[in-house]
Amino acid sequence: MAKKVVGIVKLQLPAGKATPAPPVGPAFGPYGINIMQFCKEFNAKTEKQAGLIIPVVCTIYADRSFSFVLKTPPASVLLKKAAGIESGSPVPNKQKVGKVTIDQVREIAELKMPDLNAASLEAAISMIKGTARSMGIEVVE
Amino acid sequence: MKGKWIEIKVVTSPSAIEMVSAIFYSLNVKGVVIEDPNDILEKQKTPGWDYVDMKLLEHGEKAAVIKGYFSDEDNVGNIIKYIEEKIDELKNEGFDLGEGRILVNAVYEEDWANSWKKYYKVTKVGQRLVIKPRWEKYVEKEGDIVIELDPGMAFGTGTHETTILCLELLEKYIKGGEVVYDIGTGSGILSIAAAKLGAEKVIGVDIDEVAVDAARENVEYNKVKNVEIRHGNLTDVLDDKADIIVANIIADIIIKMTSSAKKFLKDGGLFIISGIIQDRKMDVLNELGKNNFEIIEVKEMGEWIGIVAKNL
Repeated sequence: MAKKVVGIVKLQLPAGKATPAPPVGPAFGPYGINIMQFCKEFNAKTEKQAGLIIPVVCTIYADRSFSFVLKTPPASVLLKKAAGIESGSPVPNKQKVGKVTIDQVREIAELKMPDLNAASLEAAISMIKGTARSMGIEVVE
Repeated sequence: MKGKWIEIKVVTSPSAIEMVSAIFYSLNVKGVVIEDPNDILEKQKTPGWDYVDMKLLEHGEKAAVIKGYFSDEDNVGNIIKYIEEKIDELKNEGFDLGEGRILVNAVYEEDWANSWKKYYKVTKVGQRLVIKPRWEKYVEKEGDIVIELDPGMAFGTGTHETTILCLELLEKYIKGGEVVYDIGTGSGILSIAAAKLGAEKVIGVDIDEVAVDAARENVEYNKVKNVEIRHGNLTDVLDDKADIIVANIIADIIIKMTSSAKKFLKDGGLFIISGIIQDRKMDVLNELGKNNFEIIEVKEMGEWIGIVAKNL
């Protein structure tokens, strides 16, 4: 039987390290789900990917039960990996911290295509380019 | 103020979710919350799937919202200025940032720390155990072993499969008079259960201070005199050997601690473990094998497993 959905919450969290602190607490608080239970399940399912940020889409039902699905890592994380850097630039407009090739951008766009809701690969590539731009990573041909 | 956080919300377009999240990550947030209308639209399209209310979208069907959280002590003015600049830059480059509006709110830990409590009810586990939230009423029946609990923000409410697995296994294997160590005690639920099931001495250990405080409070509330809660790592705070070590954590930590747990177990002592998801079962069993444990029982519940292993 269909259960009524009272909330859909998408979060990006460090794999294996979710705690009730923000963003988890305030994201789930209003729905009354057991926050520690969510953390425990998320951590158990993502511990193998430690070090990465993992997006998770959680569906909350009227009886306060929930289910969740894990998605591909955010573009910013994949870009940092591709550029071989630890973090983005504090002043992305002035200071470039790394470079990625357009081929790498295309690869990331292809990998993330199922989660991006982009109309075309070109649109997905544009989203990844914008993300690189906001982090101070230069895209080269 | 303790427990106060600043929520910064950016109302943008779905195509800018990744870009705006990246701006937050450059400000060192621990994660972000995303409201993506596509998640709800997608759910609605799935045939025979659950009923979804479109009212869930506070800012309309075309807007996505990204939220990041900052400490009350951070310079919020500077953070907002930084986000505004980044949004403007991206807009100038021709990216669709939608409204690009920034909203700021204060949020308080007490708002989410207690909201789930109204859905936390009395749960019966195994043959005799009854987990009772402290604020709920329950008329005790003959033979019941009641554990009264306020988990606070610590792990272990007694309603999760992994906790239930451990409780059922403790109920089965504690015969009376044992020394039990509970590693990663959380709310203290397993320590209290062990004591009430007849263990002579129980030591609960956790590296998280929130858990240690919650566990001590719950131990006191349940009036179990033979339970002690210690703060720290297993090897640093224990010195003697136990008849039973119970650990409900996650597979990786259990794998890492198996060899040291062995040192703290008497010959023939039992290692009762859970928090293990089905697809990590073999990894844990292999590690137990390597450390010369005999597998006594593997119990499954949903996608979780609990294991009882004997120290040879």
